[in-house]
Amino acid sequence: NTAATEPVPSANESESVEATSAAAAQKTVITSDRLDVINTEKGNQFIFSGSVVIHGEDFIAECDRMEVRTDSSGKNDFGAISVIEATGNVVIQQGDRIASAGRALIHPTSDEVILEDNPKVKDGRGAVSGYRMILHGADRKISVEPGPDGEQPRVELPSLESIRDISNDE
Amino acid sequence: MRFHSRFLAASILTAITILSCGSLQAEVKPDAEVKSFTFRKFNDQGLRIWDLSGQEAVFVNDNVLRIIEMQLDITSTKDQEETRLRSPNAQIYVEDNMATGDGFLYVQGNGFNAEGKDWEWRGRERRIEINDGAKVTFDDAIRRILK
Repeated sequence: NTAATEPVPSANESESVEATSAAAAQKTVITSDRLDVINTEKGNQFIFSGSVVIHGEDFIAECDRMEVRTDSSGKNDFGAISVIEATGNVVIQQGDRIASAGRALIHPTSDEVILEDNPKVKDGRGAVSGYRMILHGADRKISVEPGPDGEQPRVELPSLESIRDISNDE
Repeated sequence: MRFHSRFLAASILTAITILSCGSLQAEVKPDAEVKSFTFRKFNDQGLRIWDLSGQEAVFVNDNVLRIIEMQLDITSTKDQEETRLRSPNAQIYVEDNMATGDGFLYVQGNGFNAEGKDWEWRGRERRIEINDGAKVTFDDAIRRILK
């Protein structure tokens, strides 16, 4: 008699079905050249490197390196994402708004994004840049901090013609 | 150290053989093949560390097993979290508590699934490395980023 337990599922069939269904659209998918997953006391740490792309519910972001930490402390859902740190040529696009920075810190549970290292946020109504920017998702506010060497926040408004176009569109 | 590793590998294969053939007088032969097996490893406190199962295992040498259709269920120290690794082809380095494979690896963990090729699992460091075409799907949806 053999001690075979439940049959071993074949891993040959391709598991990487493109995430196109509605359920998959709710999830967060990250691809990269390389990945390290480290299981720690507090949860899992994921280190992505090389052509990192993250697809969220209605946004996409790219960077050189990304670290994701999930939480198993019990405060949030088990395995929930607690923080995402993206570094190196960070570009985030959501709708018509594009943010670029050298570093981005995303806190999903508090709906907050911190942009550093030459951050800029641009959309159809103009562009904002500064030393450090905090995007408060909950109350849809962006705060821009001056730099230690006096770099002031900077707002670029679109040309008058396009403002007229925008007001005609509304 | 050499006697220790030989004894460890031999006892592992004896355990596998017993588990899979049910005979008590198992004889350990290099290149022995074992089919449809499950092997459990415990730590010094008697807690389960992992369950290794597969369609076929070939005993390559003292320290290395080659496994077809590998499934490795790893228990974290918190006992709630379990991570499952599956791969069509894997090499298990018994003494080093390590596994590698140049084919596909599928990982099911708490709140995520991961996959990719050319991989390595290091049990002591509780670390999985994927060196080609990594993809992770988190159950968690991230909504508001810029708006």
